[in-house]
Amino acid sequence: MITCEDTETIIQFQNGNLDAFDSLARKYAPRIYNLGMRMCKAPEDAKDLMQDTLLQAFRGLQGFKRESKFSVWIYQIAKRNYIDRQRKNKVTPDQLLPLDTLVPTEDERETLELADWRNTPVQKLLNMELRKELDQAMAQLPEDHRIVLVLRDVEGFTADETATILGLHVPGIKSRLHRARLAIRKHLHHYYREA
Amino acid sequence: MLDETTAPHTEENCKDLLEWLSDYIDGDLKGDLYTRIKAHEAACKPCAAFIATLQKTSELLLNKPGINVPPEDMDDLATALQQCKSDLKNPKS
Repeated sequence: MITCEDTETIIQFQNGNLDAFDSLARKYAPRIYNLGMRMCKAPEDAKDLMQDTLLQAFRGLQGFKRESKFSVWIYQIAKRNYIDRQRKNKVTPDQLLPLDTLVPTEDERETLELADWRNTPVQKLLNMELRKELDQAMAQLPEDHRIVLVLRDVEGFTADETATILGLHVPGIKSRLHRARLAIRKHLHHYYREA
Repeated sequence: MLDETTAPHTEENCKDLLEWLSDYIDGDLKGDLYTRIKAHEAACKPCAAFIATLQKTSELLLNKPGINVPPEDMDDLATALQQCKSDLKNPKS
């Protein structure tokens, strides 16, 4: 059995205190909602993803055997809900982004060393305009790259946990993550060069 | 693969490095490959800048504030959960 920061709450719930789930809902609902906002186009879809996932987690928690962290388990539920939603829209699997398109161009190579944003503190860089740029750059990624980037770099799951959530192998996770990061980096480089 | 630890910054060397840079910044690289990239990073300013901005990209994503859930959506969730609790406590025959 895996022990995590949610274990005590889960045990309370499994011992009959149904209200113990409220703290899990307060903690995970915003995270699942944000996943939905990044993966779905409409806020209504993000709301549905959040609500469906939390209700399924509530109904399934009595049988949760703690073979993974609770966070991994609930994101697996969210992923299944998301896939079900996408199937209705008949989305085809994405191809890996070709690395050649992410290599710095001749023009970009000449300006690489001028990239002064590399040394600027993160909190100083994260103004509203940059947040919008990041959102735009993420929205342009193929969805199977985007979900890996969200789970790894936004949510902070490990490569192993991300692979478990998505039902993929770790090398596949790493390939998508790397290409997604390169694409976002390229977008930001152009943004700062033109700023 | 890089032949020299101090391979100059050329398009060819760049492409050799590119595939491994996320593993490198995540601390997942070991052995020769790590040593080669580390040495190249120290010797090649454009690549050092590229690696630093890739690392910064990852940090920006991790630190980007999330979107607040609309209060009415949280209220709807709370109502739905309350209904689930009632159903569990008072199962219909």
